[in-house]
Amino acid sequence: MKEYILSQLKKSAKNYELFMQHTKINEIHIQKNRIFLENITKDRGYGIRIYNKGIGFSSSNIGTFFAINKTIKDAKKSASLSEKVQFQFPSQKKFKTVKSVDKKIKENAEHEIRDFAEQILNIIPKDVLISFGKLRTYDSYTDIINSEGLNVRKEESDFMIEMSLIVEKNGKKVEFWPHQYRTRIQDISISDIERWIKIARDQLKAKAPKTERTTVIFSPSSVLDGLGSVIGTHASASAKVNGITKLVPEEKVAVKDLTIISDGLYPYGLMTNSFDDEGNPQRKINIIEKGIFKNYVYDQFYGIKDNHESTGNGLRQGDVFFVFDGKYGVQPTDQISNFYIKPGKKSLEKLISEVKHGILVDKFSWLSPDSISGTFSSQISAGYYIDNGEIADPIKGGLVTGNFFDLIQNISGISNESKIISGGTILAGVCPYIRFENVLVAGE
Amino acid sequence: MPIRDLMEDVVEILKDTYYGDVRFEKGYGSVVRKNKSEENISSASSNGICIRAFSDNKWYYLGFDRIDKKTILSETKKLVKKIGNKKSNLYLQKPWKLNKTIKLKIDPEDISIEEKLKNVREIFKEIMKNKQIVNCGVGISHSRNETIFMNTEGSDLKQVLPFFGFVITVTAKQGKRVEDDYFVIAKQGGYELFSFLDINEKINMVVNNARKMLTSKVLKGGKYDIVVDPDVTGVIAHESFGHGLEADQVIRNRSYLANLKGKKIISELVSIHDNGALENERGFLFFDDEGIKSHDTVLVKNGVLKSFMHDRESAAFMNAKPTGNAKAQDFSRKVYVRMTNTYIEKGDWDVDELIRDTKKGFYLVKCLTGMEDPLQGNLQVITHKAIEIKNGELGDWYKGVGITGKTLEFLSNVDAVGNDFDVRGSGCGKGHEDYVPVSSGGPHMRIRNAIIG
Repeated sequence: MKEYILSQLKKSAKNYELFMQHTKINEIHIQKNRIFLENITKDRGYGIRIYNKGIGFSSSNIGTFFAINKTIKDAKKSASLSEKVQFQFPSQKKFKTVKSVDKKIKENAEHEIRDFAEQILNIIPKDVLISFGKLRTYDSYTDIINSEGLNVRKEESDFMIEMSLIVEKNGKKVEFWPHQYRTRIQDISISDIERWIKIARDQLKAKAPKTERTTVIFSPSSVLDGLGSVIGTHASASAKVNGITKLVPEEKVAVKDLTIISDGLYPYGLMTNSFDDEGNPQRKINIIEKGIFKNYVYDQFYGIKDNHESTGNGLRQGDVFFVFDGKYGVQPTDQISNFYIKPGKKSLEKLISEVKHGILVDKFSWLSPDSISGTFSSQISAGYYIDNGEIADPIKGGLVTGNFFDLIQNISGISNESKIISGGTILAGVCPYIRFENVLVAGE
Repeated sequence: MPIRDLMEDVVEILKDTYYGDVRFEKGYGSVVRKNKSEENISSASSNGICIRAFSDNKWYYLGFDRIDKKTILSETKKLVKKIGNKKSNLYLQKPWKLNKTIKLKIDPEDISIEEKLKNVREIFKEIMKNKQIVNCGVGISHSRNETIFMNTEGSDLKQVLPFFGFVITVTAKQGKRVEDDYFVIAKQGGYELFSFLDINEKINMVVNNARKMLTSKVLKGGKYDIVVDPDVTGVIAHESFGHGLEADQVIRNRSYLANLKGKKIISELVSIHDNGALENERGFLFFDDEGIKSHDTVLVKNGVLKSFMHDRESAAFMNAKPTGNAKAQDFSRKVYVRMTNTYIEKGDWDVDELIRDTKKGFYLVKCLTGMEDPLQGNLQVITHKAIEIKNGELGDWYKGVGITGKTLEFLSNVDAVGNDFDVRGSGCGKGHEDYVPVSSGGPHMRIRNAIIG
């Protein structure tokens, strides 16, 4: 099919790009501590960009000659009608070798997730119910070929785990509901599951928080969802070109301890690869360095528009939900790759020990800030009070409210370990715990 | 090979298991959108086959994007041989046949891309003339989705559903302050949804709202009387309440509403429906992804819990009937119990009267997000803005707030329901993924002593 698409593209357009992805998905569902669904799906599709004064895009997963020719015709027509822009597809460049694939998923994903599901079921204590659980692997390879001579293939693997852990005691029922993605299955361990079980059990004693301004420590995934979506939006070249960014190079925007990097090369990060989804080399870009805003991230389109080279941040990730097998249906946009925050110098334990009174939030129900203004208001799904430097009563409910542009000027500590993490709003991060001061909590 | 012939062959193989079905999906859609820096005209087509088999109370799925007879039949045979026909508990029904296509007043496919682009460009230009507006996005999108369904009961169904979307987003900036507002149409219908719209009124509304938000204040969290608009009402009905009535959550021991059927649980002023047969709305369908006919399910009547939403599995487990709520994101994903068009019935309060009757509180407008908590019934809804109500009059504007608390307590505190009604289309995830088209809405409502912040 690839050869046919390319032959038709060459006949139809001078400037073109083919993005073709093949994915095999293996999935196991657990219901009430029992495997109850197995799913194997194969998906393969192609996205075509054509440049002819304007840029046109069309995609399909249908492999018939008719569908291929219609897809090319649609992209060609779009290119001829859309606004005239300067553009050129990326040429072949040298790439760094990176660690981005789980060999076990590539070799035998079906066996690996079944094995992991059984390991989980074996360690689940009697008082804990996996109300539902999902384990899924994506095994993909993608070809990007364009009229500038670029012809590259990338291999990708992803693993997803989601589960509802329910604990019941004396008629009270509580849940902890983790949902995580990793590049490798092994990056979620049985000790992670045991930690989630502990959080679930602690929720049995959870109370609603009281209304106050206080110190709040955000967990790595909360940091990613919060800062990642706001800084990610404002650090994009499109936000600069569209005049909506609040970030100006060399301006101080945060405390000096905060350094944020778009790290496209971080070993086994969820957005790690040698090249981005249009074929430009991925790299590390300092976004905020010691509290000073430094760089925007560029894809090929905004790079040319803003007279700046692409920073290898042309990524095909969805803006409503995460995309793994259907990237061919999404056009590349300027996005931060792995949202990396440089670790601080103190351990999490030390950060906690310095708090007279405050809150540690392990998980929000869903932290989805207004990425333009930076404001947020989100319910605590699982958290703890901190009293006199120690973890105290668990809390649940109430709203943590504020604006991330204010919060990053009120950071009083960053933990000394940044972990590969995924969020509910932003996919890929390598983040530490961060302690913010003077945060509003609306509770009872 | 014609797709129907292939599907019939698959069903023949599936007859050697307890229950099986095959669903073919085919879609085509296009988008024309523009903002300050990009114009985007794109289209997408897709197809896929999902084959499901049930044996020994366990589901087995196969998904294929390639309609390759040899592979599909051999994989199906292999699966059926592996799982056999073991006794199971699943709701079975008599076969039925249907072939329905929604007819459109103006088919968007009959409108040229040039015409759509001209409309988008003109709206964009009109919005960008305004002071303080630094960017805007305008988009027109539409799609046509065909589903053919056959199963081992002998059902043979086909539906073709259209979608039309129109969106305006406006960004205003003053100094370093950036605010936005939006207008959305997301319904089943054709280009008439755009052609008959008063565009200038919508432009003025979003531009003025975005500019006014530049001077909005930040609200101090606490307990207040609130009035919510139909958008917020709908998200509460859907996220905070509806997810707990998806009966698969009951099977999983994961619904706070599991043991409350027949009991009065919220204000008698509140009645809630999930209605997959509500024509022209985003969640409309003739039949669901298990071949069950859609209909209006009364979930709550005058505060009393009447029904859950079911798929075949939960219906069998709970000795009920399926309600036409079984849906999958696409051929590659599991079918779950999902909502369709979920709304609260209108009441008898004039909306102006409702505001005038509120001495002190906040009017919460437009929803940004909502999150379900089916196990514990906690409420989390984030609104776009809040407007102060002082002595029955609307006053200062505040930035969006979150609403929290316990859903049943919150809905028990509803003391006035408006006589207006509006429904908005959107997408809904089951947890963090598996997006399906839905709509939600209802009237304005007043809730006493709500926790917002």
